[in-house]
Amino acid sequence: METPPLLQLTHITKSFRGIVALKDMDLQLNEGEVISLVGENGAGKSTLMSIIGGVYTPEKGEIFIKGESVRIENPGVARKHGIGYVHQEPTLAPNMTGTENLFLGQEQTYSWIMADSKSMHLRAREILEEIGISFDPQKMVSEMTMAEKEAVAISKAMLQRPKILILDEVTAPLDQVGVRRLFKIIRKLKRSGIGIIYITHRLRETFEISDKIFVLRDGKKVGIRNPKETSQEEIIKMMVGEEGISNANDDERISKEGRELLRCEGLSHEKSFRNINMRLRANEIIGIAGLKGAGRSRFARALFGLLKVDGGAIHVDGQKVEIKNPLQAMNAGIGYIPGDRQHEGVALIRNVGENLSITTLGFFSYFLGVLKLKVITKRARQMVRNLNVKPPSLKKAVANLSGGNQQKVMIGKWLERDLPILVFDEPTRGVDVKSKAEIHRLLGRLKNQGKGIIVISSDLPELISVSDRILVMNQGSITTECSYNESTEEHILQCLHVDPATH
Amino acid sequence: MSFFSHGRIIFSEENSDEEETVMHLIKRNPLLIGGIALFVFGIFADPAFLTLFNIQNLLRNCSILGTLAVGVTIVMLIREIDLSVGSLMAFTIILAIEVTSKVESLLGVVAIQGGHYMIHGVGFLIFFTLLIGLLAGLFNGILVTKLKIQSLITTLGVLYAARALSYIISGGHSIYLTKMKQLHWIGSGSLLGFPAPLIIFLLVGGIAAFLLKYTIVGRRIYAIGGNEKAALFAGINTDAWKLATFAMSGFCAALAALMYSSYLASADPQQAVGYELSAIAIVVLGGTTLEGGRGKVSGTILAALVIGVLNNILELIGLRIWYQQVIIGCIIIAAVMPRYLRPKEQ
Amino acid sequence: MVGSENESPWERLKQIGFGTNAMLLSILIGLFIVAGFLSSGFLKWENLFNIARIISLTGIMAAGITFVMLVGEIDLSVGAIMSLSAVVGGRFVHLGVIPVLLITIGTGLVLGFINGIGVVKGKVPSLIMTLATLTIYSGLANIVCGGKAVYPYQLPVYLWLGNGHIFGVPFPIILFGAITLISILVLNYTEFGKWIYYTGANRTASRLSGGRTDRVIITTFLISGVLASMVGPMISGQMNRIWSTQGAGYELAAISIAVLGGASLTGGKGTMTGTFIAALIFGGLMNILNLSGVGTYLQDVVKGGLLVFVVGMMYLREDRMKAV
Repeated sequence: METPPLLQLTHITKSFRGIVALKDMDLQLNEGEVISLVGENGAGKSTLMSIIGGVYTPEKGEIFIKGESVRIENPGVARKHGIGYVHQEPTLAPNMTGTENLFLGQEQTYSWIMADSKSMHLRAREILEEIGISFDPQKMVSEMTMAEKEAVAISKAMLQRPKILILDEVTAPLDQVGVRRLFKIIRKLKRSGIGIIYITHRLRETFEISDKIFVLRDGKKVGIRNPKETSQEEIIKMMVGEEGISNANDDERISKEGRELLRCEGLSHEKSFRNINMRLRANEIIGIAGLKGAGRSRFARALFGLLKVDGGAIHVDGQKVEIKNPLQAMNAGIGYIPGDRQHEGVALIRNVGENLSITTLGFFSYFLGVLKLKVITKRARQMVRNLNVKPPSLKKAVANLSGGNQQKVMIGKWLERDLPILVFDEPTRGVDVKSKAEIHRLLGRLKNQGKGIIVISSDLPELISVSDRILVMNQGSITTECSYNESTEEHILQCLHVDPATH
Repeated sequence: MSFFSHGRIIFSEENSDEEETVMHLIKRNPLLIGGIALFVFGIFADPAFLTLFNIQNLLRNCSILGTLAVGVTIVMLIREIDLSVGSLMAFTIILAIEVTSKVESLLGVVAIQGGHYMIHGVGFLIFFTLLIGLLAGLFNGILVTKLKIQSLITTLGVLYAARALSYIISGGHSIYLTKMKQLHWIGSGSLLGFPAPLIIFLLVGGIAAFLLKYTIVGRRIYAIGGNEKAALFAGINTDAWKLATFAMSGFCAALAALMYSSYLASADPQQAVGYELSAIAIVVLGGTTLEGGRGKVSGTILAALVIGVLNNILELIGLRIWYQQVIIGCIIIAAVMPRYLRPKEQ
Repeated sequence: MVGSENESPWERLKQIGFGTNAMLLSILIGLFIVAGFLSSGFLKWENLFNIARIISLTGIMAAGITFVMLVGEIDLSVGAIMSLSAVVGGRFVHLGVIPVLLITIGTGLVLGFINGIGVVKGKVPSLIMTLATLTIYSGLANIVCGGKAVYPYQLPVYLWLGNGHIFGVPFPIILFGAITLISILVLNYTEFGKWIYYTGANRTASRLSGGRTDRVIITTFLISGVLASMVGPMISGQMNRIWSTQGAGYELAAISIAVLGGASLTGGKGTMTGTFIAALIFGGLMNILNLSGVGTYLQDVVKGGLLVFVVGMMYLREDRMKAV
């Protein structure tokens, strides 16, 4: 007799307020199997996983675990059925320790309500060792690095020895080292018979780690492929539904660098970076690569006046400038597009028009601040058209747009200001494939307009395809500079680990 | 090295070590040090301060507010707020009086004699007061969790409504409880010299502190306050816990009502007006934050005592209550500011 | 099932148009129609003007609070600001009307400024800051006037401010209307207004967009202080005296009106029009209850009930997390 699959979903349908998120979805997961779930933002990946995880309940369809029909009404029930779910961006309570978070909801007790801290602490250490990361789980989560938080989140899911493990975009906040470690763990879990569903935007990862690639589009299953028998182009085609989009803007590379726009000399900030020397020219895109914590974002924020530098100087257009706050940075000609779109990039509850125009209100107003609304509206509409924001309505609240479109609005906000120097921090994080390509092309266009652009990204292929040269940072210093020809992924990966002390 | 110089070196080392520790101590426990300093000041400020009568009075007063504050602490830990506790301090007991006399007449016990309420069932009264407190708290909780109305608004509305109902039920005037001898102990009595309210306060505070630190209860509450999403995903029934904390807050308000009314031997619809603000001030002073997930009941207890000492000293010195208000307001600002001023790295 | 993934009945109502100014207006009109039936005296001009005269006072304070709430803060001290600025002005009654008014409003400005500085520079959460200043200002109000009321016989203008009228319309409602109108213009057509909404919606994004968030927030507290202090003279005119607790209790009503009018506690959402209409609804409701002989206490119950149920129905908790 055939053994029933570990997990089977049949005819799953789910709508939210009348909008169908999942339609007639079928999925099958076997023991020891890794299935990668791919699809654009809004395709339904997280929704499907949330159903398995007990966060939502489907209107139609059934779920079978090992051949038995089950109803998963809430996360607690999911856990009892042996389902572990590691969410995007670890959802941990920052005010509690790693151990407390690990055992949250599944605490070990004696006398019914007394928390058995000692044995939980021991067990926490045990599990962390199994995963291969060692740090003190008694640390407060608020003081942990991203990798440590991920470790806690994964350990938490593993606590009840799940048979099914869902990993939702767990590599998004990780660097290369973290990803390698994670894959090691995944392979170990595979060997012990656990079935894993792996959601990611990074196609290369799916080819490396999965047995099957499951493609979703618009809430429907498009197909399943064996990674050995398919290619990235085919998968992208399935995800997007049209000709694959080239990720690179090689054809637009006109390396005719102009005058010097930005120069940093010996820029330092006590805990974050040391002795940064770099030069940015017009018509140039510089990429900054590095591991998490290398200091890239903090350097960018220092350029924008969010961090006070305690050494060195910044020169814009040949002149030394003091940048103590964002307003001064903007006046000096520097713009910063932050990595955390939701919290720092856009005002979600305000509409597209307001977000786009907020940076330039001062330029289009009369005396006393009265706004020239017609001009402002016209410009906003133009920007929406230029960036291909969908839906092209100015009145729509940004919160109601997809991730990719939100990103475009955030970028558009800065383009309105027409600043010569732009610093992008993770420009395509949480963005679907199509929008990603559009943003890359945009970067190329901006470069050709004469701007100087710095791109910080943990996505090496992206960085390589977009940049003219790449600076590698490690532990707060720039350790290597790679020219366009030297920028291959292998080379840069090596450079990432170069110790600044030996340089 | 001569013995003398050796001795000097040791001495000076000890000295500098001591200085360091003292500074550290002050920085780490500003409230405690401030409280002790205040107490010492009080001794010198007025001879009447260190008398048994005064200390008992002091402790009695701060126990009532303190009990209220313990309930509010728990609600704030879960990232909600309860503005209704002041009104509940009047409402619970006034409604309880009404209910008790109705129940008694049902059971055929003489209720009114000589124009005053004469409630024999002290036990009934205590029971109903606490029950009403719990139910009122649950009411708050249901509005917050099921109807999804923000707690600031909900408890604001209940603040209005409960106060008004107190007026309506009592007919607008105080109800005298002078005949209820057995009730007096709660407010006026003492055990081994310690005022009864203090014992109740420390008991309630102690149980709360214990639950929060050593049991699952604490973990649930701190988790929901720290990151509600994380708690939900961990399978915790956040709604149920929120309901429970509001119920606890209502219960504490009822307890405070009993202590207050017992001491004054009356239930006044106007009693405890503004107490919710004082309670919040105490909670915040004690280290609990508005954002939830951070704070300890021990801090609240300490803050209640410190404020109690402060109020007492101000009264003894003869400063009218107006000056007390100004000073307490300034202290709250001064106490909270350093916490949030810590330089934040972006 | 976790979170609000399915449509709650409230959200369905919201889609129909609940929770908008149109809805508020309908409630107002409906209220007045019902009231007209219930009580013959309700729709008389005299009564309507009475409503307007009284509710405008709270309404102006609500307008000030609306500004503060739009940037995501709250101001509990408005009542105390009104009292303190009134009695400070009362000390200078002998100087004449204009100086007194200037001093009163100037005091309101300073008190509001203190609130703003504490919140922005001192980083004290506004709930705590204004709670503290509430007590401080109340205490100071008593200290300044020694607990004694002042009778502004020398200021007949005060009487006019409270009871007078222009073309038959009571001055308070004219002032309230004017303030509302100016506020609407400022909020919708000026840079400052846009920054208020943006800062309230996302303070960090505002700062990163080059906004002077500190200044914006402090200014809203200034506005709140000034508007609160404007109400003092009118009350003194109506009550014929300046006393130290004249503002007590107004803050709750003012916040209730602002929230009823749509201002969100988390900032970035709300309109001055909504506050205006909500004030009228509030005033009308209180009036009906009065006319129907409902005691003041029961009115408070109704106020409480109104606040909780209607507001809860119309405005969902926006910060209620939605599950993944």
